[in-house]
Amino acid sequence: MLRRWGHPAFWLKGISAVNPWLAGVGGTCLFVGLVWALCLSPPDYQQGEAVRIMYVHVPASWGALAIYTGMAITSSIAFIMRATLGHLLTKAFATVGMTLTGISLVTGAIWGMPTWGTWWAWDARLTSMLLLFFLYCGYSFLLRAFDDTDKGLRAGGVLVMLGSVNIPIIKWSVDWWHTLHQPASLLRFAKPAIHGQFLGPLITMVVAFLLLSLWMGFLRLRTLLIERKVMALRLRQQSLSQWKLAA
Amino acid sequence: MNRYVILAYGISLLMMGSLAVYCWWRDARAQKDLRKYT
Repeated sequence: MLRRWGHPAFWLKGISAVNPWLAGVGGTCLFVGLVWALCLSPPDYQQGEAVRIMYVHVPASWGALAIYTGMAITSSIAFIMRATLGHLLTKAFATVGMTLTGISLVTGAIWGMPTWGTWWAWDARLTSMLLLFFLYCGYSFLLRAFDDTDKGLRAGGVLVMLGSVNIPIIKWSVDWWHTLHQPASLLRFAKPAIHGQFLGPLITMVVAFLLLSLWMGFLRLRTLLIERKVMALRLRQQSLSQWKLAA
Repeated sequence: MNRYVILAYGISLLMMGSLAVYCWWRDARAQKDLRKYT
């Protein structure tokens, strides 16, 4: 079973079957979520129209955290089981995670202006989120720093695992320190502190971001697997032609 | 809708859209390369 999971053919076949569904359902959810968030949901009695930024800011932030957690897990599995596919999964989702972190930071800054009166504050949540963005960038730079691709993947994997310390800091920074950022309204043990009218479009947008992130991550994984296959075929062809010349 | 909302949604959709196009383009190019060798 585990051997099957580690085989590229299993993933290539699975991605081809699943990806059209992820794109179709994710795209539909995004369309419904956008109409609901921008046209049907009411403005907030305190924040007014600016509350609508929540419907892109929260899904992007959750996506960025979830993807980094997933990357730490796949890197750990890659080291424990000596499976390159785990490293490739990490690399495939890094670009998606970095984009979501960028969206979270930009939309957070835009939301901060009408609500807090400032684009940026060096508070614990914002700073730890910025650190997450640097971790994603650092991972991408580290991959390119090595001539040997596999060495780069392993070095990146170590960075991802070390950086995972930042994930609980981001999650609980609003509880551990006095921050300008509000505490958790949804992901908490008590009842969600958000009205039902805002919950519908928010959940729809979260599902849309989740499905579209998976679609893009799997597309990247398929590309990486195919590129490795093409490289192997190219080397084989070169050695065959050299052997023919020598003969 | 105010200008902050338009700005936030515009940038978010632009970033997600660009990433989707990039992923799709790289995948299409890799598939084309593979067809050359198989």
